[in-house]
Amino acid sequence: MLSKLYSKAEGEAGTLSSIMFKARHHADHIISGGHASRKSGMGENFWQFKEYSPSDRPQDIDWRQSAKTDHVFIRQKEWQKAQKNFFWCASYNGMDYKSNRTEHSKREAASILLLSLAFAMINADEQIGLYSQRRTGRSDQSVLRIGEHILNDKHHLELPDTQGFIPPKGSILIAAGDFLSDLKDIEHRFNDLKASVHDALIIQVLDPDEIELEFSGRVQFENFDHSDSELIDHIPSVQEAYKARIKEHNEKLKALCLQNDWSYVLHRTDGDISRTLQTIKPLIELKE
Amino acid sequence: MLSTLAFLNPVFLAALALLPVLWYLMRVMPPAPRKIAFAATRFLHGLVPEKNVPSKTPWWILLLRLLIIALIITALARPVLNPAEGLQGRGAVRLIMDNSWAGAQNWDKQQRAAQELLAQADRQNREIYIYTTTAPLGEEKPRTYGPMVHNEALAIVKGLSPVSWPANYEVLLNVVKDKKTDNSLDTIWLSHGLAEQPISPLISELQRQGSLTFIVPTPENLPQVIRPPLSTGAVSMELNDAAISIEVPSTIPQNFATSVKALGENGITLDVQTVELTPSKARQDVSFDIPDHLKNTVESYKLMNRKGAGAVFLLDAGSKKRNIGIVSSEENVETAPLVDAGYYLKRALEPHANLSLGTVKELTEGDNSMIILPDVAAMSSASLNALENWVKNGGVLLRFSGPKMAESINSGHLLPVQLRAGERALSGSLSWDEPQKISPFPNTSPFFNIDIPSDIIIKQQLLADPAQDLEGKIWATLEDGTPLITASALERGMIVLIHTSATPDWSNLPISGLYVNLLKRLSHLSSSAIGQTNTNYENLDPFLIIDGKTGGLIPAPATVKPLPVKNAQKKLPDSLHPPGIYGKGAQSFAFNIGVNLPPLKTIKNLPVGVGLDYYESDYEIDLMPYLLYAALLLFLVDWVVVLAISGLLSGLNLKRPASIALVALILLPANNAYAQSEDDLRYAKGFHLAYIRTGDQALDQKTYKGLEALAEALKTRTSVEPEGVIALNPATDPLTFFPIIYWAVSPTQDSIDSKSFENIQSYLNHGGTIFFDLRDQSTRKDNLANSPAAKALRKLTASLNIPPLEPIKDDHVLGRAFYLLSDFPGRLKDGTLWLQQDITNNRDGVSPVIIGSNDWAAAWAAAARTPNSRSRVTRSILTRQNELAIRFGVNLVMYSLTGNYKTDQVHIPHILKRLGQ
Repeated sequence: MLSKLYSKAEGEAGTLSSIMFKARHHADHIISGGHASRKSGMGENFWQFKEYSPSDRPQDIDWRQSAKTDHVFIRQKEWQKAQKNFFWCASYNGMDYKSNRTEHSKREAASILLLSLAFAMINADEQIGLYSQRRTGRSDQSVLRIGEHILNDKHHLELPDTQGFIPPKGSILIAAGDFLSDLKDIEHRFNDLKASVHDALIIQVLDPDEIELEFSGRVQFENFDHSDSELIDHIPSVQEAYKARIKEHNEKLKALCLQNDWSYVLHRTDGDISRTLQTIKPLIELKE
Repeated sequence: MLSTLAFLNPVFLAALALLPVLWYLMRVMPPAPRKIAFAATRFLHGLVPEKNVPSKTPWWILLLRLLIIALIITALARPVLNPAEGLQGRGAVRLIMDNSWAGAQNWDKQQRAAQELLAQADRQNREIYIYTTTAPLGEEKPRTYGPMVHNEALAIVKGLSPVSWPANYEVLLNVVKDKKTDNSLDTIWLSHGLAEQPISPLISELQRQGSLTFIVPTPENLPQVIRPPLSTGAVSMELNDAAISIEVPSTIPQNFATSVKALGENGITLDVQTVELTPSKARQDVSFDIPDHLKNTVESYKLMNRKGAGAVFLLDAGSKKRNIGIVSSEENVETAPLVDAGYYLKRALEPHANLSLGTVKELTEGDNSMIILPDVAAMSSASLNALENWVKNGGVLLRFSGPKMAESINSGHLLPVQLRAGERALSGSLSWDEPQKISPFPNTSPFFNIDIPSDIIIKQQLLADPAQDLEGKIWATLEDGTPLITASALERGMIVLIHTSATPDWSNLPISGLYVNLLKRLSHLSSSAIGQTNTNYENLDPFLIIDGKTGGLIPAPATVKPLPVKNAQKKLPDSLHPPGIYGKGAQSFAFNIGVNLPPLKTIKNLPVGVGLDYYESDYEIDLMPYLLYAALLLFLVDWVVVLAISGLLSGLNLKRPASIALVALILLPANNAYAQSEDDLRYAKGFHLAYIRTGDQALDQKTYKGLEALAEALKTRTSVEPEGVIALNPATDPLTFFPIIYWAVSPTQDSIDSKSFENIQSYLNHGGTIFFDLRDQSTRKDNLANSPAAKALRKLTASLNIPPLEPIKDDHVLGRAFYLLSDFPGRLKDGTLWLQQDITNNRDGVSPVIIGSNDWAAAWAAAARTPNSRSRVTRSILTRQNELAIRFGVNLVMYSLTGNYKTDQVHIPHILKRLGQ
């Protein structure tokens, strides 16, 4: 019994580290693309030396530049003033669903996606943080914190909570989840969010089962809080109708995002994560 | 033949009528759906499937399930294939098992039929008696068992085995009459098909007690027997003669072929012959085609495909040809045949022996077991020496007197007795004596029981010098008491002298049948040396007996009685004298059942009311277990199918051991739990020192204390950790758990019953060691003194089979098993240990019995007390001796536990040295 628990715990720890590893790998992939040029280039837009004034932080002083002249310069980056990125992942049980055909559960796929983005952002010296905490950072530690939180979140949220947390002005929300809630609820919540965030990226993560309903026989479906159930006697005959419904829902969700001028990406858990990231890449670069 | 089916509990079949109802119920109730937790459940609301198929169980699953239920119901109705006809009557059932020699040939059928009948009797709840027709070995009466229940009866039937001698129906009749029955007893006689003796009185008595049914083998399975050949009446290995004959009952089918084989040494088959027997010629001779040089090696004949004593015919030395050499005159002189000794010897011996004529030199170098020296004049000393050496190496020399010997008595050389010079003429012109007749052979003579024709007269003989040992050397005398045949051993060989001539010069013996018989008997003697001449030839001791079931030879148990020579030829084997090989010294006698068995008769002309049935080839088969197995299998199929339908099968991969384990659990038969007493468990869990309770309270107390002290010493000094000390009663307690048992022998030792002896013997035979302590210093280096304790020990061990013991050697491992000890004192110190040494069997060098007399238990007990002793001097002395006693105790336990391990340690330096090279 004990050994079983032990191995399970080890497995959990392995999950986080393996997700971190995968995320870092994917992030490197993104960076080798567009972000690298920023570091070597000295574009005016980007680098700027400004004479030190008492209102500046002393740690921002560029000593090398200051040594060249009689003045003290600080190295100022224009984007630093820009947005903070807040990450959110749906935490209810439904995210643990994993069909036989996929490698990852929805939660795992969502975390890999989010953490890859997080890595990519800290590599670009952007501030990242958890949606629910004001604290942001630019280090691996911040990514780790996000990862730990996503995997251990016990709040069972289907949609981002807009009541408990108000992000700073100009923040960007990167939210991953299955967004299978009632469209009205989603619209309502999005409207609330729109007031507090500057921009948002909605990543809808769905299992192929949820898109295609590939089951056989007679099945009693039940949602995760046992509040709802539906007995389907013969699944193949309802499959098409179901597919249409899901498709419609997804399209409406996408429309909702676009209406708010947000970005929307659909990720299937049996799909390639790096491909999804490539899709996301131009969307986040757009804002920089 | 069409097999039939019947139900023992047909009532249950009515339940089959419920099947349609079940069908309906199962159709109405759909199988439970699979449950899936699904985030998108919301989207499924209101989706109506077009088809509704799996909501009802598919018809074929329904059918499968109905089949399972139908199988179970049918199984409960207990169907049997080939149902046996019901037992007659209602009272107790008596089975008579025909376990005589002929029973072996159909024993399997008898047993199978008996088991079937027992099963039927069990179903009808009837009491069971089992009778046998033939007394077992060493008993007078056939055994009877009962009343009892099925299980006991089954065990008895399985334990019975046929014997190798005929049944005695008179005794059986008395046994049957002894059975006082209030109620009728239904008897089924599982017969071998033969009426060994007039059977009608037995039948009428059995009928008087109840119904009677015979079950007999079909004609082709009737017993057969090997007999001596019809033509000669005696088995011989002579050329062109029939070796044996085979008899079958005359009710066999036409042209019934049976095969018999001749077996040589070590059971190799020398020849197989097949004969066709017909009802009119139910006994026929069989000749074998065996090369001459192999004929002597034939040891037995055996019927193929038959078992038991009747199917075996043993040969003894009498039926084998010996190589006998006759010394002929050294100068090749043409003599008239009727005056030559060789002529008469040849005529007498030719049918029974391979004869060769030649000089002494030729014969001693040849392969002869006996050399006959007719009346010859002086021989060269070289010849004499050659002959003497040949005799000393185990040859038998037969000498005849004659005129030449009478002239040259060479100082008794190569003669059994000293002879007086000159012959004694009994009917000469100068003699007053009448020619003498031969007096009957004494029972110390190998010729005992040979008939002497009354017309034989001896006219001349050579007289023996009276000597002290003469009496013991005489094998035959004349009526006046003078020796006619004398014999004495010479080292491993033997010299026999016939005090008259080999030719009819001196007597009419050489032209009588007695001459032939004497020479024949003598030639059998020649198989090996006899060693002693004054053996009692009245009885033949049993050597090997025929196993009644298999027909093989087994060593004769002690219950077999010696066979009186007098009527051995005419006797029929019985429970005290089973067929086999009997003998005396070098003489052997094959006691076969076929020799004197009356002609085989089948059981026929049964009176009215007696049933007759045949052993059948197809037996009642209870189908219930098969049906239940089928139901179980179908159930498993159903399980798999249901899993497949609900789509679980794809998820059910074989990596899940639980499902495999479940299947295995279903298929595996349950193990029988084996109950063991708590004591046994306790003894088995740890090492205990044990002693035999003698009944003498004080002694037992002392032994207990001594062993306790020893146990304490073992615990503190060695890695042996005794759990405690156990007192044993050999009659009731298991001895198996104790490697060594201490037995303090008391002169007032309780007598021990036979059960204890069995228990102790089995303990000793299976590796146990008993340490007898006589406690009186009576065991000496050279003998066991006659003390009261020693007497008690002798009485105790009289019935035990104990290997020869000897005084302990100086380097015995008991002296170094743990401590190095040179002597083994206890309370006393002058007794020697006696034990079995140089043990070659697998006891690991541990003697089963060790006898000592130093009262060690007392010393061990004292050792525990010694520190409190007052006197310093006595203390130190006592301490030293008691310490040595304790050390001996430690060694003793080590020895019994480790065997020759320490002995082997001696070789370690050598082994290490060799390994190093």
